[in-house]
Amino acid sequence: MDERRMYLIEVRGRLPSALTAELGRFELAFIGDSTLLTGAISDSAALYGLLARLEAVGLALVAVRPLPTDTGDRA
Amino acid sequence: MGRHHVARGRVDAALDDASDALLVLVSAPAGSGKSMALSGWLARRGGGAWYSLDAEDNDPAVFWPSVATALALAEPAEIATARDVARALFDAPTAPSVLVLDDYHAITNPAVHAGVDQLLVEAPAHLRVVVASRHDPPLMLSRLRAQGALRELRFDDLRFDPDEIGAVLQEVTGLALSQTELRRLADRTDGWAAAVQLVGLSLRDHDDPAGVVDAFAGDNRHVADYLRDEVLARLPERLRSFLLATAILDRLAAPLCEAVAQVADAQGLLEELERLNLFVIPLDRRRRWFRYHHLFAEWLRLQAPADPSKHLVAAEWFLANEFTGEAIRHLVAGGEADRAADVIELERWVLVGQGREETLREWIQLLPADVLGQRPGLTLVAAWVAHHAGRWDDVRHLAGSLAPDDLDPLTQAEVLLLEAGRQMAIGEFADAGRTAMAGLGLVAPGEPRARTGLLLVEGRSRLELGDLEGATESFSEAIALAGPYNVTIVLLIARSHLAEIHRRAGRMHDAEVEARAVLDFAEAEGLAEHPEATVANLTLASVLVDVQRTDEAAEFAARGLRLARLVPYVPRQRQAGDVELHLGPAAPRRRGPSMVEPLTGRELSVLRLLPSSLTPREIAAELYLSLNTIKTHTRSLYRKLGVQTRHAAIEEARRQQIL
Repeated sequence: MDERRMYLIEVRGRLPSALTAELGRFELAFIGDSTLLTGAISDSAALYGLLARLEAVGLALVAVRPLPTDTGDRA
Repeated sequence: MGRHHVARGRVDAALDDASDALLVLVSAPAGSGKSMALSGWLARRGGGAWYSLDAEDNDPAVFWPSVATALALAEPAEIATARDVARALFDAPTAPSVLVLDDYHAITNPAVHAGVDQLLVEAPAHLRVVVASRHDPPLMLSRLRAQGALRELRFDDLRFDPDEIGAVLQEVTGLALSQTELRRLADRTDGWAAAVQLVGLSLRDHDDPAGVVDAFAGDNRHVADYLRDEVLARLPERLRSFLLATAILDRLAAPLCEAVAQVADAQGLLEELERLNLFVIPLDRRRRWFRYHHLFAEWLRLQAPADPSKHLVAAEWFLANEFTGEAIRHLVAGGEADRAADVIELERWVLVGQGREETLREWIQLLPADVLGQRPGLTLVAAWVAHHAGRWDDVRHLAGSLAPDDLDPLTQAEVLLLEAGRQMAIGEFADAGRTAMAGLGLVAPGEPRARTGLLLVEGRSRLELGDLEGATESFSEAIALAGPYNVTIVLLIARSHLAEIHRRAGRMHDAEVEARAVLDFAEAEGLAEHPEATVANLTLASVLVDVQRTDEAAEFAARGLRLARLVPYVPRQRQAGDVELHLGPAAPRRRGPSMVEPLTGRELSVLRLLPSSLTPREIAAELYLSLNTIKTHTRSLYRKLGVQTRHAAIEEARRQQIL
């Protein structure tokens, strides 16, 4: 299966506060009008699940980027 | 939303303008006002057919009859395919000329997409299909676009401009805001329908509207938080707690809400919420079923602490009212995956008996992986799903993974039935007969489960080995056993083979009468497009050739040959070969070797990207799969198409009209 790796996900707007707790395993950053989530995702099913969750609460997806694996140890 | 619709001039005009399009695609994110715009347009133009989809519609046996119901076609239960819908529409000149399929993103089964494509091609020219979805669906969009037959409405088209925001707020609150305020709101909400509605709600009964606009425009909270702080907080407690308690429900009916929220007059509350424009949408005219606007429900769920016991109450209600799919979903959400598995295991005989394995597939996907591997019954459900799809290696692997000593006799017989079916499918007729006989020794004579299926395999094996009399006995016993329970798939198979036995014995008249009766039965039970309908079509074709009615024969032959290709199954493919020989030059020519094994969903999605200029690595990125997985799928689809290269695969897929 796919390997666990780090992703950076950008959505437009702020996260609803209840979602901030739910997504506690991600590092959050706010840049301009965007929220950046950084964290490890175990496989593509988990990635799809997360994207679907963000979509369901109405957050517009701006970007999904896998990060170079050498930063993976940091998390 | 609710009973009132603010006129949306631009959107209405675009929709009216699309009268020459076959497909209108409304593709935009959650909360952008797709359903609202479409239902308003339909109401203003005087009606049309409306169907809201959910995950259950991935089963074509659920989807097509529901579409037929929405179109008010006669006898919707008898409609099993896109073609049936198209035909029925030709016979129903007063049927609506607009069909809206809302929430189309719920569909993931390629068979449903293919059916909708087919409907677009075959329906009467005046039918306009409107698909509303959060994503562009995998329908034949580029082909339609090239023909000028596609109209699209996207987020930009749905965005509320300042004037429309003014109209919404006036409608909801009776207030007229200044142009400056409206422009600021348009800016802050991005014209997003859901946010505009929320502002309207918080303006109502507020003594300082300008302050509300300022506050909303000036803060950067997410609108879900705005909902909690400014809208929910100002509702009376009984409404707020009702909303939070019922947010877990995908659809709402008063008795269900009364159980889940523990209130007395849920009907009154629901209608009050509807009047207050609180994102409650009635699903039927009698206002028995409602649903929350999807995005609103998600936001409510964010505010309500997860309470498994509420899911379990909902599950009990759905079980008691025989909405099995929803019951399973709530059992899983309530942490009772094992009980969900009990329900699925219990239902498997009914669903397999009706040819509804697709529904079983949907259900087991809801279960957590650790439950799936633990239960023999679920392994057997997965084996039936594989059986239906003709994945014979998987059938053997799954059924063979169970240790017979741990199983009760009926389940042992089921394992043998799956194995016998597999042997029959790959042409090991004598072995199939022996396995079936071993299975029959394990079930009591009056037990329909497993026994009917085993009798069918026994009969098929005897027929292939030339024992017409023995085969007749097996099939007759299967009919006698299945009849009282109306196990439709068993009746279809057994009666089809009795017709074929008549034919082989030279009783052409009996064969024709029985084959026609069976095809009527299949039509009536929604099984006309089931792979098991192959035999009756081919038998009838052979009989008709024999009596020189070649034209009529060709029609049934064409259908039988098409169905024979759906699932790899040696006896049916043999019969298909015979019919083609028999028909001679009049036979509809197969264009080259037909595909023996159908492509899987993953293989199809890879195939669809082959004509692009993407490299395998880019295809992998596009589908969020690893490069190795893509290579495996590519190899397997080349094998199934009988080709060696990417170019040849594209050519072959186009020739077979898969692409």
